Amino acid sequence: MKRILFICSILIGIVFASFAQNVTLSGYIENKATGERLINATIVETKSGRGTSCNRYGFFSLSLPRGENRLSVSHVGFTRVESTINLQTDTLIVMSLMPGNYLEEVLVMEKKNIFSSALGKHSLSLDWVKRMPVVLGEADVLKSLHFLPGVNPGQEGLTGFSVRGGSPDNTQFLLDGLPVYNVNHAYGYFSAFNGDALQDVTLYTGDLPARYGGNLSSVLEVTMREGNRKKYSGDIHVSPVAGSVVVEGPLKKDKASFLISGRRTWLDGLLWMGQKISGSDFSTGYNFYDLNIKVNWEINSHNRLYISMYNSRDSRFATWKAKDSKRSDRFRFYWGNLSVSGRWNHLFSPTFFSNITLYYSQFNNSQIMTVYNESISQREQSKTNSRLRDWTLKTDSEISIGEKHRTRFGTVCSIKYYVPEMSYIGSVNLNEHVRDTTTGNVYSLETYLEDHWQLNDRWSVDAGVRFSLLTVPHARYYSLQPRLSISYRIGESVLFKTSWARMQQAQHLLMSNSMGMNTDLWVPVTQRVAPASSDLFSIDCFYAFANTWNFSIEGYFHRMDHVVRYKDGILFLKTKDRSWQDYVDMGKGRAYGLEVMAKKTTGALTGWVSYSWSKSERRFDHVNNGEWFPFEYDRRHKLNVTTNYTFPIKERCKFNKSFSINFTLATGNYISIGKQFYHAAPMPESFQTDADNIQYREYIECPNNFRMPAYHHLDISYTLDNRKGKGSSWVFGIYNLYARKNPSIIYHKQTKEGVTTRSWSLLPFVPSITWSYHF
Amino acid sequence: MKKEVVGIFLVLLTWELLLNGCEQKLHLDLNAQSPVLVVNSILMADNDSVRVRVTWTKNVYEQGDFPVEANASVKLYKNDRFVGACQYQKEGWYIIVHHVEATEVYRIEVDVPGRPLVWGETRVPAPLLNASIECDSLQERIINRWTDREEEKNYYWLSSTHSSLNGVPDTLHMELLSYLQTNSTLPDAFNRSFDFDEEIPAEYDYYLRVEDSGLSGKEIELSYKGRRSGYYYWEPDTGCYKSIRFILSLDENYDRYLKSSIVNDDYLAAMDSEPLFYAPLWTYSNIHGGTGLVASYSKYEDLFIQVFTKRE
Repeated sequence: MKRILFICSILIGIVFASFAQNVTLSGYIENKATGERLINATIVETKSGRGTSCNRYGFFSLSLPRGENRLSVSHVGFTRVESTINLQTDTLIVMSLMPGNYLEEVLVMEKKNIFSSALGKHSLSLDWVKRMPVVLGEADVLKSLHFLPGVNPGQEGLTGFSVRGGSPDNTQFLLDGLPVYNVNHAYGYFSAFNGDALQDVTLYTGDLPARYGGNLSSVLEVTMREGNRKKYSGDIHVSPVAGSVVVEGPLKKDKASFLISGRRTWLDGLLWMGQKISGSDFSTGYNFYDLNIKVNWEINSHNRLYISMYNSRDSRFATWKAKDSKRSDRFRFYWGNLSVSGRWNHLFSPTFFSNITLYYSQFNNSQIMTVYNESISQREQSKTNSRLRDWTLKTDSEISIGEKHRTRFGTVCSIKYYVPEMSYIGSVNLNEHVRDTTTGNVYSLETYLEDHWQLNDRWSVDAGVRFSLLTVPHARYYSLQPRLSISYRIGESVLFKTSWARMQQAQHLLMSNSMGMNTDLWVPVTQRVAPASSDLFSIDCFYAFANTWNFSIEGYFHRMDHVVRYKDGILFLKTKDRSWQDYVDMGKGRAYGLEVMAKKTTGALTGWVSYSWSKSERRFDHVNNGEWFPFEYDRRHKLNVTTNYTFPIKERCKFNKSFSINFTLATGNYISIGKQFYHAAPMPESFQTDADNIQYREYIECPNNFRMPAYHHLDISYTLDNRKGKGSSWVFGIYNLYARKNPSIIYHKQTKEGVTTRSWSLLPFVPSITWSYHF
Repeated sequence: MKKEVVGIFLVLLTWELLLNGCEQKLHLDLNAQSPVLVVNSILMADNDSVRVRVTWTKNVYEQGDFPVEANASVKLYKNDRFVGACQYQKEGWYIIVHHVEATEVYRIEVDVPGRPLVWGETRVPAPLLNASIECDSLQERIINRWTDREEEKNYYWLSSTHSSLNGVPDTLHMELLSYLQTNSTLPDAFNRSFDFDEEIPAEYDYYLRVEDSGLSGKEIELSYKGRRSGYYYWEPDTGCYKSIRFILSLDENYDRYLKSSIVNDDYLAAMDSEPLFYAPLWTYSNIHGGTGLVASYSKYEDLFIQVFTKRE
């Protein structure tokens, strides 16, 4: 025991002795033009190469030797700043970067310092996202991510999102740290994130730090802009399907600012107009909107408050009137998110940064049908409503210990209330709930600790652990989720890395094959349905060449347990006094793959080429005789090319011009379809009756038994970006230039000639013009 | 006028590009698909024979009947003991004379030369306990009563067949009721539809399915009204009208097969009009090495006869 104490005291002495040689430089890096803090900006001491990057609040902390230090501060799209600072004591500073001129802004797509390069993590510049050609000109963060290796889309045109073999709910979508449960508009045609209001998009596909929990595959962290603290400004954005407005400005100059962003589709207006012209008694429509509000207030150099609100809603409706009826009947489906958060940043010391977040987030999905009953002259209504409500308090802290350690720790306490589905019928003699399934609270307590340890110039270790305790009615679940990543650097340009992350997901998303309505159903962990868990292993290599090219190769294996799916024959829940738990199977998943990416980060021509080889499968005891079968998001090969060429600037020209080309070539995804028919066993007591008229069944040997034809399309866009601060900008785009008919679905149809097979293809050759005005 | 043209153009463009998309014919290359053996056999408790049909799957584009297998060796086992070999009759049917006993486990093995063994197994449900079927005084509401067997998992299916009605009752040709209306909350809702025009809110296609969760050992009473497809009130002018009302207790295999079949039928019908919104489903099978179904059930039924005379 004495020996242990002796060794500990020596180690502690060494640590403190090493601290005494250094002082801590900490602070914030912000945009000089707007006062907004910059996420992921890097600061490097040029002589030693020591450096760090800002966290999600623009805060950094760096241990440097006493005396003069030459610092280089940079961020994508901003002019690099170099300055000398004489450090004698721990110092807190605010550094500002000026947005670069256009050339620098667009030519430097992502100039990463090797310190900040993290394999298994992708950050996209919002400027880049806005230039990418997309469907109907709506800048789409999620679709842009489909061009990354390891991210597989679902059906053509939709924002299905599968990362490294996970299902869409295995990715956690965070907007300013708030979970967003419905990330799509228009059944997935557009993402629910309005690109005009965003500052940063980062996708973690592997090596998930311990500070992230509650998902099996990946985390998409989206950060909203803070709002201009210097002056009032705004943007108007008009595309063929939607319009959006962003207004921002100081509430108190250099101290507090706000940003309000709203977007709404006019698809319903177009449809209404068409129906009026045709004079139809049946009218149907669809609309969506989203609204972002963010306010921040810098109380003093050590304290800052943020309040954010996000609201989005999709609505599908129809009204019709029967002949001779006095009133019309109608149905309405609507679903969406509402999230509100308050965050408090506090700097305890130059090395100790902390954030406390309190948020409320909810997802609602309602379907209401109202019918007018002529015989009793009353309206009757049926209603189905599923809800998820989430109250969470969490703390996140980070502390720099010497020059070698950056430690983060935190706690998350949450109460989630689920109403998986409830149906209600109101009629003359009946006013009752016919379904009221497993409702109730799920309490969770999670805590994490992670440390980045820079052993020496070559080796670094990121180690962490996350502990979670879930309490549900009649059951408790504990889990310990270790995370480990070891990096080895050779020189300034080569990095090897291997990582392992164990993760747990305490809720499931049940999705049906039907696209006709939103059937997303978030369900909790229960006594019968255990939390899903996974292990993600990866081995990566990164090579930076001539400060222009980045190459990366990543291999992974992803093992999943307790993943759920509807049992066969269940498409979505209907009215019955039974639990959704009766309708799901629990099983296993596995995925593995190799991802290669070459990225050109500087010059007039920038972009990347990526290729993924992957395989993803599922296994359930009661499906396919317990054998593995393909996962619907499995695409064996996927090649993406995305490029942007910036034309040389002409002084007389009002616009900066750029041209983008995107190309996708991928193996088709899987669907279920019968390739053979077989004679069916009869229904009971139905011999020689009408009910037995189906004499055959499709023979589907296992779910997802058919791979669709190869999927590919070429998209182009031409951007005219106003060079002045105010004025119009334009994006002209064509999605699917050569009108490739990528099937969304394949099905058989019985005709007089026999059975024919048909496919539906969406979005062949979609031109668009997008206009935006900055003021 | 210009505005109208622009409006129409916009609407058409939106619909055309986003919603209507493009439908095209495809021809799947199915050469690699080898036929799969299909074994179907439904055993009924207390029947004196077991019938097995052995056929083959066929390519979706193939016309004509399903190919039958006439050279198979079909064996019946009871509780793992060999009972006997089924004799081939015709059109793929194999038959063995054997009294099917409730609560016993039967296995059917089909051996086709040069192919792996194909088999399926079923446990025959026990007979329905204390079952009775009555009608109300108006002969409209059918009241079913029985007691759940505590010792086994049961899947009850209820319905009626009735004389086909082509002007006059046809007592040889029976039809299953298309719509069953009940205000009971016992039936599973998988085949349920809402109909606000009816006094009774819940209406089911063809069958009422009741799973015994929470009913263990209890006396059950379930009443329903039935109607034929397309007829709200069916009363023949004259003649003898026959209907058979029944309560079935199915084994798990038959239950899962029927559920998946009925849901699948609904979806196949819907796919015809809205293919984009639906996808085919896997139909349940318990056949190892092939497809089809080996299942069983027990039945309680009552025959009702009504005689109608022409009213003035």
